[in-house]
Amino acid sequence: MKLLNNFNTKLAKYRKNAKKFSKNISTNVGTSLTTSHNDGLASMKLPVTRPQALRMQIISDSDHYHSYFTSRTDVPNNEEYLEKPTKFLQKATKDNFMYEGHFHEAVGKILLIAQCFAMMPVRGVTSSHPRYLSFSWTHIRTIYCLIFITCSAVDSIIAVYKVLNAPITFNNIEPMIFRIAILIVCVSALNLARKWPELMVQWHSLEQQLPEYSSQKEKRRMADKIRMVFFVGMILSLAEHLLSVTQAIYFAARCGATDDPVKNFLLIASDHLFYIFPYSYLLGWYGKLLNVMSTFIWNYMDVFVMIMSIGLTYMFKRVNENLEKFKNKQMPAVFWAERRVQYRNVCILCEKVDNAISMITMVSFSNNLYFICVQLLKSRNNMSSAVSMVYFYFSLVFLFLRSLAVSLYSAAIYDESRKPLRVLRSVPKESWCLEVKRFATEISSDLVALSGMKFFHLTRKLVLSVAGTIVTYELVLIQFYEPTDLWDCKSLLKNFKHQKLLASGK
Amino acid sequence: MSQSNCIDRFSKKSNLSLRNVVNKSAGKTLIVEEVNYVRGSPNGENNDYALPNYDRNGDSADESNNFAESPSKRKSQTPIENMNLNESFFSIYKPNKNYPVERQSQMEEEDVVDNNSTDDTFQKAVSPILFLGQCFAILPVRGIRRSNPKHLRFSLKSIQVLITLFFMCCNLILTLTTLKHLLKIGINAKNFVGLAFFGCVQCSCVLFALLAPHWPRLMRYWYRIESIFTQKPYEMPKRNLAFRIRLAATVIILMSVAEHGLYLASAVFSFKRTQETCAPLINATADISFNNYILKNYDYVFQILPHNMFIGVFILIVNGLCTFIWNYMDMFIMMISKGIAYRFEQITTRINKLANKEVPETVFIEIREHYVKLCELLDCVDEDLSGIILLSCINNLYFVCYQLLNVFNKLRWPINYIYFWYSLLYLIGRTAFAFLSAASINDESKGGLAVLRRVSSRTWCVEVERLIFQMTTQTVALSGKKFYFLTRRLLFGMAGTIVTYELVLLQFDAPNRAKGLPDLCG
Repeated sequence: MKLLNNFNTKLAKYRKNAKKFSKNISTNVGTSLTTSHNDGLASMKLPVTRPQALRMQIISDSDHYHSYFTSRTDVPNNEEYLEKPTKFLQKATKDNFMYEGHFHEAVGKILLIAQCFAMMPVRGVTSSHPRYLSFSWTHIRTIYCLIFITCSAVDSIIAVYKVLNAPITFNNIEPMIFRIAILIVCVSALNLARKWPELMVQWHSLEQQLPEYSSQKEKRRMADKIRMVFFVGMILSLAEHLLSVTQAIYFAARCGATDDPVKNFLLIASDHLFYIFPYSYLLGWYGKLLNVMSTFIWNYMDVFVMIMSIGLTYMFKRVNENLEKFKNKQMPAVFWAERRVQYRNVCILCEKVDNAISMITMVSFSNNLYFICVQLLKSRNNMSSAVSMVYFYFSLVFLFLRSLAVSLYSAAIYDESRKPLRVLRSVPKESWCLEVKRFATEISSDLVALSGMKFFHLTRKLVLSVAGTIVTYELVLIQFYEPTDLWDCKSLLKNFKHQKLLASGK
Repeated sequence: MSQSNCIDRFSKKSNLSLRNVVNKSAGKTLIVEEVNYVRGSPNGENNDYALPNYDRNGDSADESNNFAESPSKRKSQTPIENMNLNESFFSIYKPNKNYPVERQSQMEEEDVVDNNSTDDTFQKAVSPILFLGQCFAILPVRGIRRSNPKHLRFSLKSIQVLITLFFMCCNLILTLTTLKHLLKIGINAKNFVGLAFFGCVQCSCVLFALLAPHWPRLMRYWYRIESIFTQKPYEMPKRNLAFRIRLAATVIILMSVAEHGLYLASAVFSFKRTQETCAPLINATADISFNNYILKNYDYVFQILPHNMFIGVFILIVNGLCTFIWNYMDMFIMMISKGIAYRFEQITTRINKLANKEVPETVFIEIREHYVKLCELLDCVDEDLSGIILLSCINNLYFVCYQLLNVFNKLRWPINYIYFWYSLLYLIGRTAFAFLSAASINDESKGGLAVLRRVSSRTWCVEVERLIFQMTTQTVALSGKKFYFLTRRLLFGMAGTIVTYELVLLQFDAPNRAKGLPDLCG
């Protein structure tokens, strides 16, 4: 009996070893094939700043631990490994569809689309490796962006002028808030563009440190989610904008002051411009163009925060899913040290990303708060027609959903960052060591999340308190609010009268 | 090697069902042991959750049976041959198609007979209440009345699902008619209450229906974790779980029946007096009939449905069902939290008994392991239930606000006053009760902390430190989709919020109140 028992134990051990062995082989092959040749190059090319140096030290620490499990053989750095950035409209090859599951790959095309709307002018967003990213003031994208910023600055000044000339109320300042928010986001995106190449290189080299993906499907997971969020967000915002255009056309047709339908529409669409300037066809379309771009950016800033959060969440997920495999198992201290360093690196990345985008987060959150309050107030207005009712409720629901999505996606980082604690609490007594303790203390005492300029951290609790705040504000605001018909012809005609006065030279 | 040794070695894996098999004979012991190796190696407890209990139970028994047929053959072989012999041991995860049906019933009996632990399980405690719920179209799961959760099954082709679907359709009709009526006369915060009520009931019905497929798995997992606590060294508290849960549930059900009865009485009485007063004014005889009552009280339904006796009865029944479900949601949360808090209480009692004693480290290892298992159970429960909790919180918040808003309103008849005040107090009481019992999980989970802090320096070990660390840093509580945790602090915060809203809302409502009662016969 005893003999048998002994044998049982041995057999189990053997099985474990065999598994470990096969795992070692796979990781070894994986790292040597995909990662190591990129790593050295990336750090060689760029100037090493101080935080980066610090990070590299940590990473090299983790490398040391890494070598415990895998002995790396260096792949020779052949020149052919260095791909050139693809030419414009080049025929796609197999490489274009190969997916390594990097964040840089996942967001490339999305950033390119955003660049058409003058957001974040960085070169080489669709390149295969973040080392091809660059920023320069003289590049055409940057100049385009600067022109847009100038135009929208002028636009905002005009809008502010118009708002200040009328009595100021909580929801009269809506166009002003809208344009100023766009301006701030654009400027901070330009600022972010300068840091972006360095940030992406860091992100990329961090990804090399994380546990390998186990399947091709897993590699695509993050990119698929990011694209899904982008397209759903953009399609909904397009629908919202089209509805608003429909509404404007409807009212232009119903209470138009002139015979020309295009003129009627433009007078409504860019009314703040014609508050100062006399009517001209080109100026009208220019105003509409600016409006379209601003609307895109207004929606894109939320989507951008979501995308960054999804990226960071998946970094934590990779660490967690790997840890989950070792739940309830006896692992050596070195193993935990390695995992801790991985986790810490992701935390450092999260902090860096937070520092880079916290301005955008802040604007996005306060903007959503304001617009939800305004829209809720407006729901007390009487809707004169079905068109305005459909538009209004669609935009209200869309705004709600968008704000909720931003909050929940960004809160997911925090939720995910707490998860290793579940694995750590079931570490058996025998393998409990100082490293595990350190790991557990770190997780439970740190708050890893995106923040709005460190004023608030994006967690699920914040969502609840923001909802409470909105209800409180709303209850107070409603008392001072007098419902009006937003889209009645009277107020529109007043605008046109002012227009006529301008035209006659008074 | 004796049997008991073997059992001890694997009691950490806590396979209650397997242990029953172990008791049979020494020869079988060995097999069970190996099965354990195969199963326990990669993920340990994780797999237990994924695997339904009864499958394994049956499989292992089946395997042991095959094996027991040729004991002489087995003895003649060397240990190595014995190990390599049975490939079927390694495919234990696969479902066995040739599984004989009779064996299952045999296993049931074995379970009951061999189980030397107390019968103080959650499944047993809640089964009558869940069965009652099923009569009202909640949680359509089969086998809910059995004391062992391995009989729980969810299938779409069951009578319970049919009842649920039928009720949901009925409720949908009422919800839509209310919505149509509201759109016609214009929604405001006060007449919204009907729609909120029906919508909330509909939502909770859907949430319970969505929970049903997960329920058997959850209950089996719960049962497995509970098997730790139903035997020594854990003791049964003075009042057992079944008593506590059933007492609380009975009280809530009785109160809710009283509330509904008062509602009906109030409505009927008002109708009768109105008829009696108004009929002479227009020179007509008072029409105090069932049909007329239904027509006056539920006029919005008859904008869609034809008006007859049958429909009237139907409306009354559906209305009663809705009230039951509306109450059941809070009761359900209360039951679940009592079930978990009870286990935490047992751990606390065990820790408290260790006060001022020299305790070996193994005891603390065991306690901490059990504590972690309970926390994992709580996480699972929370994942499945947090939708219902969120809905219940919103529902309670809204209804308390609404009822409080009407506090200063004038009512016409005394019975209306009685009904209003009773329902307000009942609502507040129910909300507070549900929340406090949910918060008791959080309280109980920290119960042992005081003793642990006083552990003498000789007994102090890493495990005590870990246990204290876990108790202080984790928030062990049910949550509403992780937006908030149900603790005592939350209840207090909610009370504060309600007061703030109320102060503002009352200002709003001042003009309405100044108008006084509307004309009775207008």
